[in-house]
Order: sequence, then C-alpha cells, then structure tokens
Amino acid sequence: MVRLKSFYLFMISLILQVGLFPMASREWISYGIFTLMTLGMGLFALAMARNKKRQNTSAMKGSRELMWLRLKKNKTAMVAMGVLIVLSYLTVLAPFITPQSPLDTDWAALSQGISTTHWLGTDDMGRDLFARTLFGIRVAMGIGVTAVVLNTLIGTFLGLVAGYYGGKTDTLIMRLLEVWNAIPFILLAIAIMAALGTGIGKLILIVSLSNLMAFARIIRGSVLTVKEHDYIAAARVIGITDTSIMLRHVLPNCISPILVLASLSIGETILVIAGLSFLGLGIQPPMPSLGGMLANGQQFLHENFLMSLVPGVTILLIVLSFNLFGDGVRDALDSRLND
Amino acid sequence: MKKFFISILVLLSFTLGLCPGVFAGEKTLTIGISKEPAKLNPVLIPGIYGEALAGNIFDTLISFKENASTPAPGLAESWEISQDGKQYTFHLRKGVKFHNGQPLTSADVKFTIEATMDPANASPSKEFFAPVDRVEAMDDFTVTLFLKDAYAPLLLALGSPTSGILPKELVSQMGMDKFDSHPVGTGPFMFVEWLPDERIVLKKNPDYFLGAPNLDRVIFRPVPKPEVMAAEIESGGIDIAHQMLPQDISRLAKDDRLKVMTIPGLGNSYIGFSYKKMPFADVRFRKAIYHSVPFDAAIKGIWRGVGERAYSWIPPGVFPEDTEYMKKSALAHDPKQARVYFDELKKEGILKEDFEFPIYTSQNPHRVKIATAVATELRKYGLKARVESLEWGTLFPILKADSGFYIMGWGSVPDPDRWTYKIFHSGSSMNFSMYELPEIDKALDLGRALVGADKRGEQYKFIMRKALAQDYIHIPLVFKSVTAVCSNRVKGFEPSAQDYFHLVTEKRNVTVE
Amino acid sequence: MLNYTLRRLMLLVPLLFFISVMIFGILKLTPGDPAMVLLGNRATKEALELTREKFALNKPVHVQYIKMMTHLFTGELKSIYYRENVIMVVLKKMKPTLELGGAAMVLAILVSIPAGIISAVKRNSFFDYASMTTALFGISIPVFFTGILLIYFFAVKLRLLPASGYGGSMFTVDGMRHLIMPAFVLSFTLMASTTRITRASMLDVIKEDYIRTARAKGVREFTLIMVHAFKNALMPVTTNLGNQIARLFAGAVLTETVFAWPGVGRLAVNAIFRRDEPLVFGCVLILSFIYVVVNLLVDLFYGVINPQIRYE
Repeated sequence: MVRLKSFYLFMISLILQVGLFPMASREWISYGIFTLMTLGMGLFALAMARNKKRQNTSAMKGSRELMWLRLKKNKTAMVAMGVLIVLSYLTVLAPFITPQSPLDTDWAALSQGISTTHWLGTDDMGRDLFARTLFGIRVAMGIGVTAVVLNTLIGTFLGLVAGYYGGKTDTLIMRLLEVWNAIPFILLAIAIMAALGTGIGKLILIVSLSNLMAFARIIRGSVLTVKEHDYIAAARVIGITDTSIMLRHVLPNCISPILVLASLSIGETILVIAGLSFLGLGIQPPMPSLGGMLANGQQFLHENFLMSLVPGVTILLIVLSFNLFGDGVRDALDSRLND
Repeated sequence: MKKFFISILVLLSFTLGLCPGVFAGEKTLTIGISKEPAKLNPVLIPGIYGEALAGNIFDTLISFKENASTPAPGLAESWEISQDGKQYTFHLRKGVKFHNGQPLTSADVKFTIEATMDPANASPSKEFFAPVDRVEAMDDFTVTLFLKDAYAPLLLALGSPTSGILPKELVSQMGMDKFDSHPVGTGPFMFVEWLPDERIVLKKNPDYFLGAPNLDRVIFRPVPKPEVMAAEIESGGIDIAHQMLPQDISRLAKDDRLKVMTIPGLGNSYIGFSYKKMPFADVRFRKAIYHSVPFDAAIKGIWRGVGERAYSWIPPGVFPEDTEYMKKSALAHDPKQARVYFDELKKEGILKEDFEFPIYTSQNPHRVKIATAVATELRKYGLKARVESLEWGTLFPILKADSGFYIMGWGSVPDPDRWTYKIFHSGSSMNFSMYELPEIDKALDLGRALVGADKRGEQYKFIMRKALAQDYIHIPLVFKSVTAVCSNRVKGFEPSAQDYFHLVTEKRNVTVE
Repeated sequence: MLNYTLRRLMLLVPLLFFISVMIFGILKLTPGDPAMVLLGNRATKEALELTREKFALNKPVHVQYIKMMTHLFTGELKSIYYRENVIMVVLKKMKPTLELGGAAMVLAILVSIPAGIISAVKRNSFFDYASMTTALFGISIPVFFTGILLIYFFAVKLRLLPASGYGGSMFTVDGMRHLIMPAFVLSFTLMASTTRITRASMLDVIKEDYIRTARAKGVREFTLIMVHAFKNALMPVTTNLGNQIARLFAGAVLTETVFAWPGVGRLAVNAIFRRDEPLVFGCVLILSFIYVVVNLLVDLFYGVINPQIRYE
C-alpha cells in the first residue's frame, strides 16, 4: 500500500517534472526544489519496497510499521495527509500553475467576480486572487514550516539539555524560559518587530521563538522518564559520551511528542502571522500572504466576498489539515488507544 | 446541558430586551473618531485629531469655522491690521465667561499666545508664531500683537483650534499638563470626562456667547477600524462617522437612514524623492518613475472618489490658482520613455541592475496601496522596490534622515505658505526630500513677508513650477476629500474641509431628533 | 504549603528583574523617538530637546534603567503619552480587560468542558466529530475575521447588539450588551484548546483500572464520569486554563482592536507604537507579574484537586 502510493506520487512528479521542463527558466528555484522532491520521492519508494521485501520474511512488526498501520485506519488523518501533499505540491509548483502573476495590477478590473481570465476573481487592486492565494499558500507554508522546524529544534535542544543534565543547568534553562514565557508573546512580537523592523527573516525568527516553553517542557518531561531506564545507565557505564547518548538513545524516545506538537503548532504560527498582518506588521506588500489578504478582504466584505472567502478557506484548510494529521499521528503513537 | 442552554437563552433575552433608555430626554450626539486625540490643551495639540475636537471646548480670537479662508469674529469682535502688516490689534467681546465662571480678558489672550511661544511648553504650534515679537494687553479688552516682519498667514494661525484661548489663572494654578486632562475654555461645550480609548464626553455650556447649544451632551468615541466605524454608523451606535473606506461610503450612500456628505478637503498625499541621494537625486530617475506608473488609473482605483488627482501642492480653490499649467506639465504613463531613462541611468552607472530600495510610508491604507502599485510597476523595469509601511514612531526618524523614496501626506489651512514653507524650505524639519535651492528659499521667505495678493501669488507659482514641473522632486497624488456620514436624526451638521467637528457656530447649532 | 508559596513568591524577584532587563533592552534597541511621536510633525528642535530632557531620554542607558525601576516602585513612573502614573494608567484599563477575559473564560469553561466530556464518553459519535470540528474552526479562523462577521450579523443586520465599544461595568445592561460579542469571539479561540484537552485527558482517565473497578461495582455511569473520572482529568485542563488566563490579558489585542475595547492589550500595543517607553515597561512588567501569580495559583490549586501532590 505504502509502496504503491509513494510510487505513484513519484511517477506523477516525474511526469510533471518532464512536462514542466520547458518552463523551468521561469522560476528555477521552484523547479530545483521540485526536482529534489521528485528524487526524494523516488528514493523513498525504493527504500519502502526494499523494506517491505525484508519484512515480508519476518512475522515481527516494528513499532513504526504498527504506527503506520494505525494511522492508515484513521480516515480523517489520511484525508488531511492527502490535502497536505497536494498543498505542498501547489506550494512548489505555484509559478507553473497560475496563468496570472500574483503581483500584476489591472486597474480596469477591480474587485471582480469569477471569470475565465481570473478564476477566483480579482482583489481591490485588480490582482488575480487565484494567483495570490497560490503564492500565499507558498509563503504561509514556507514560513510556517521553517518557523516550526526552528522552534522544534531550539525547544528540543533546550529541553534535552535541561532534562538530561538536570541540576543547575536545568534550573537555569527553565528559569530563563519562564522569563521568556512570562512576557505576553504578542506584545513581545510587536516590540521586537518595532525594534528590528519587518521582514520575512525577522518574522520567522520571532514566530520560531514563540512556543519554546511548550517544547522544552514536554521534551524535558520525557527525557526525565527515559533517563531512568536501565539501558541509559548501561550505555553510560560502557563509556558512551553524553552527546551520543542523547542523540542515539534519548532523543528517539521523545520523537513522538515532538512530532505531534510541531504539527499542531504550524496552524498557530499561520494565525499569528495573520494577526500581525491585521495590525499592519506582518508580511510587507506587495508579497501576498493569506493573513494579509484576509485582513484586507474583510474591509471589502460587502463588495467582494471572494476576497475574504478564498484566503479564509485556504487558511482553514491548511490549519485544519495540519491539526487533523497531528491528531492522527498522536492517536497512532498512543498504543493504549488501540484496543 | 439543556438546562444550561435554556438559562443562557433566558439571560440573553433579558439583556437584549432591556435596551438602554438611560439618557432619555437628553439630546446626546455620539461622534465616532478614527483616532483618539493625543492632547486637548490647545497649546499642546500636535495634530488634527485634537484640533477636530478642541473647537468645541475652546474659542479662538477669530473664527474660520464657517469659511476656511475668510476670517469671522470669534472672541474678538473686530480687529485692525496696520499698514505695514506688523501690528494686529484685536477688540475682545465683552461678557464672555470661561466654563469655570471667570470672565475672559485680554490678559488671558496674552497669556495663551505667550504660552505657545514659550519654549518651556514645547508647543507644537510654536513655529506659527515665530514672527511675533511681543503681545501686549492695551486694556482689559484690547490686545495687540507686534510682529518682527510682516507675516501674511498670522490670522490663520490665530484662527486655528491650536490657538484656543486658555484661562490664565486656572492654567497657572494647574500647570499645562494637568490642564490637558481637565480643559476649561469658553466654547459651546464643557469638558466632562475623558476615558482613554473609550470616550470623551462634553456637556452643553448654557452661557455660550453665541447662544446655548441645542445638544445637551456630546460623546466622542474612538473607533480604530474604519470597517467597524461603518458598522457602527449603520447600526446606529454613532451618529456621525468620518474617515471611512471608499467602498463603505458608496454602500452607506444607498442607506436612506444615513446622509453622506462629501466636500473637497485640505489634505494631500504625495510621493517624495531625495534631492541628495543617488539615484533618486537624478531628475531622470524621478521622471522615469513618473512615466512608469499609470497614476491616473491607480489613483482612481485606490481612492475611488474620496480623493481628486493632484497636480500641485496648493489645493484647487486656494490662491494662487495655477492648475492649468501644473496639469500640463504632469508626466503621462509612458513605459517606453521610462525605459529610455532607466537605460540611460544604468549605462551611466547611476542606477545599478536589480537596484533594491524601500518605499517608506505610513500605515494609511491608501498610501500603502499606492506604494504597492508603484513597487509592482517598477519590478517590470528591474527595480526591486519593497514597501515599508511603518508606524509614526519608526517612520519619522527615518524620513528625517533622508529616506530616498517615500509616500507621505500633509494637511493644512487654505494659505499657500502653510502648504509650502515647511515642505520646501531648506531649513525645515518637514523637508523630507532635503530639497535645497536658494531661489526657492528666497521665494518662500518673500511669500511670507509680502502682503499684496498678486506678488505673493507669483512667488508660490514659481515655487510650484520649479519644484514640481522642472525638478519633479515630488509627485503630487491626490487631494483628499472629506466625507462625513451622519444618521438622519442629526440636523444641521456639515463636514469641514479640515475634518473638524464644528457643532455650534454663528450660523449653525447642531441638534438631534 | 505556606513555605512553598513563599519560596515561589521569592522566585518572582529575579524573574521580574530578568524580564525588566529584557524589555528595557528591546525598548532601547527600538529606533524612533518618543519625543517626536508625542510632539508630532510640527515640533521644533528645541521642543524635542526639552521633552527628551523632561523624560530623561538623553541620559546614559543604565541611568535610565535605574531611574525607571526606582520610579516604578515609588510610583513616580509617568507615561510620556498620558502624563500620568503608569500604574494608574494600567489599572484603569484593568477593569474592562478583566471583564472581557473573565467572561470569555467563563463562557469557554461552560461550553467546552461539557463538550469535551461528552466527546470523550461518546467517542467517535456524531457529537464527537461535530464538537471537534467546531473546535478546530476556532483555532483556524483569525479572531478579527470572526469579529467582523459577528458585527455585521448581530449589530448591522439584526441590530441586537452594539457594534463596538465599552458600555461600562458588565453588571449593567448596557455593559453586558457591549460585552457579549467580544467575549464570545475571544472565548472561541479558548474553547478549541479547552475542549480538546478535556477530551484527551478524559479519554486517558476512562481507561484506568479504577474506573473499570468502579463500573464493575455498579456505580452509576453519570457519577462515574462526573465524580471519579472528571476529577482526575481536571489537572491538564487547569494547567491549560491557567496558561491561557494570563495570556488573555495581553493576547486579547486583536479582539480589543476590532471591538474598540479599552483594554490593557491595546494600551500596551499603542504604547509600543507611540514609543511610550515607561508605559511599555510598566505594562509588560505588570502583565508578566499577573501571569506568574496566576500560574502560582494554578499550581496551588493542584493540591486542592489532588491531595497526593505535596509541595516541597
């Protein structure tokens, strides 16, 4: 099943890849990422196939496979995963899909409805809504994923160190995080934005620092329990260094809460960016962002409902699928729910 | 669960049923303001949000409330200007009382003007009184201002709400800062309370010298979001709304419970370039940008009837009229010509390939949109402009340090000096373009000193033609119009060109039904 | 327990010190000039100089910091914009904020805890799916959008509620009418997390052996859920609420902006925009203080619901 699916994805990617080749110069970064994605998909399918062959011979099933089996049973999570796959393809292929530029203004066609030239109509400056939404998804997913990955890495690192070493290190890290956490985040974000200026990089930085406490706490908690296990003590006795104990033995056992938290906080990130856009601090124009489009669109509710509906539904779709997928992963990881 | 919902429903119906009739019988007018004033003490008022209200609490010597360009008697019944234009004598109205009962005398007038000029008060309006040498109270009801040089716009400065007359004794006791939160004037309404971000409440001054106001109570409510302002006026939460979005105005115009009033305003928006920083300092670059953006179409699409295309800094209707000439010298949308200029600049090495620069602007939605439109068009020519819309706190220091490319606005009274001096004079702090030409400075100074209309007018025509039709240092975008939407229960209200709320004047006395 | 409380309160001092240093650092990094914002674009150079002098904006950084700290404690720290004692300015806005936050919290608890319990008990039922989807909507739609939709529906179309603004104390009719919409909008985001956490922790608890035992012993299902299970599922719910309640004070900025609500969040944001350094400083410290105290209370509350927890 898995093998087939990733194989099909690989084939679709490959066909698209060849089909888009003549247009590759249009946006070579996208094309490059897409090529990498296709290659990765191919390798993944291959690995899966080999894995399957090996596992067919043994009756034992790894925990990962069990988890995957459980996840597959969960229909909502699978639909969410499908949506996420489609969204990531849209993200990468946006410049090849849309016939219109997301930036070009058409002063003769202001806030129009659905038509053949503008599939989802135009906004108040005559820009194509479909194109803007596609590029908006790109920005949202890009920033969301980057910020959450950063957030996860920093949070996990801090939690790991605090939990593993304990004592003074633990106190220091947790106290500092408490300071960070005690300042209301939205105020902190606005203050930092005012101090450093706006821009995608800074936005990512700020958002990625938002949820550190939650990550660090959870990781620290699971490290504390894992640490007590005999195999850790054994590893220490035979002289394995702290770093490799943490990376090889402790971290893999904490991976499930990290994954869940990360998939859930992507939605939150996108909303934070939308909120900042509403206050005039988000992504600066002319770059399209879903939050900014919605903040702008709500001023035109009566004139052109599409201007709020399209970005609104898109945000909903992204946040919903990340959350549902995250929920699904959590349920699948939780063996107790399997009875 | 069911019980819970039922109890909630009961509670809801209770609260909803009991609509407030608290102030029944009292005539209360509620006005939505888009931004809360920073100050109410005229000496300290920094901008239009304070000015818009202050005219109801304070009176000025002369009044421009009904006509923005011809002075009418205010607290002064009459006045004389000496032949050389250096001596202004005002005869005060007798029997005028402050809200605390003290009578108005010339000492109060002297005190107020001196307070504005006193550096210790750091008054934002100080500069308008720079040419004043001294103020003297000739007797209890006569005040004379002695000027260093003739200064044509003095009457406008004295008629501005920032020159509202303060009660000397009370202010000396309270101090300027404290007076700001408990203002006392001679105006038609008395100050009751100011709850920041919530409301400012005024009540009627029955002893007002022009006659008692019809309204018992006026409430100013800050509503920060224009779309919520529209919802408020539509749902009857406020009676007068201003500074709304064009799309809301056109919708509300169809509502027969509301009245939409639009008049030409006294505010503009413009694009400015640096005069000193390359490549902005090259006139070909500025012309190329003028050519590259379809300004007419973009302005129409963005301002949509709440603004008229501007060609000069001096608004139509304000002397000297030179619109014909200025309109002719405006540059048309011409991508070919723009490309020629850009190519030239690139060849000479003034403009780099893929030149990246920010367009600085405030968070005014119209300005952000026009900045976006400019940035979008410029991308077609290989210029990577990005829009930086900042709050005032960050924006001002950047603009004052020569930002290169910015979009800003200005609002003022109908006198050419006020529209040009601070913007084009090399010594002015508002000259964000760092425009510096001796002949312009000279003309600006002459314009202030000359009293005859003809010669004064020529100076300003020269300035505008030189700066905008030869140097293209700015691209004038629009003159905003002022739109007020009021509910039908309001009678007698008219918007003012400066977006002030005048409720009681010699000609009007606003009331509600 | 008293000891524990005292020790936690002692920890407040270094915590607040760090917070104050950090926020002061950010303030000092911020470009822009409070004097310029205050005096507007007409101000002359000398006026600016004078204002800077007045608020000690031209002194060395550490002098400014010490001055700000001591003034905060002596109650002399004045807002540049309001020219009033910072603590007073914040306290005045506390009432609307507490009302909004409190009402939202109560609403969220009333709706989402029962919804979470029912979802857990009737797992995979229609109710479960419906309430979980609604909860997800709550965290997927930006607050400002829900807000404007509600305004158009209830204020403009139905004319039932006032569109925005503060109507005085929530115990008056007018105050209540003004409170309903913003409180609902704010609680919408809260409901999402509360429902989900309630459901999840109920699911955890229901599986425990003692519940099975109790059921086997013939305890009524309702009592079983409400008394035996819920009491033990309460802890994560309380943690989350404790975290959120403090966030509500500042996090309501968007709701407050849409509904023109005169709360602390908007005060703080405006203070940042206006470069009102003393006010930002005071606001953030007070809000952080509240956050820490609320969390302490939550920790103490654990002891009440679960006597097994001891405070060392």
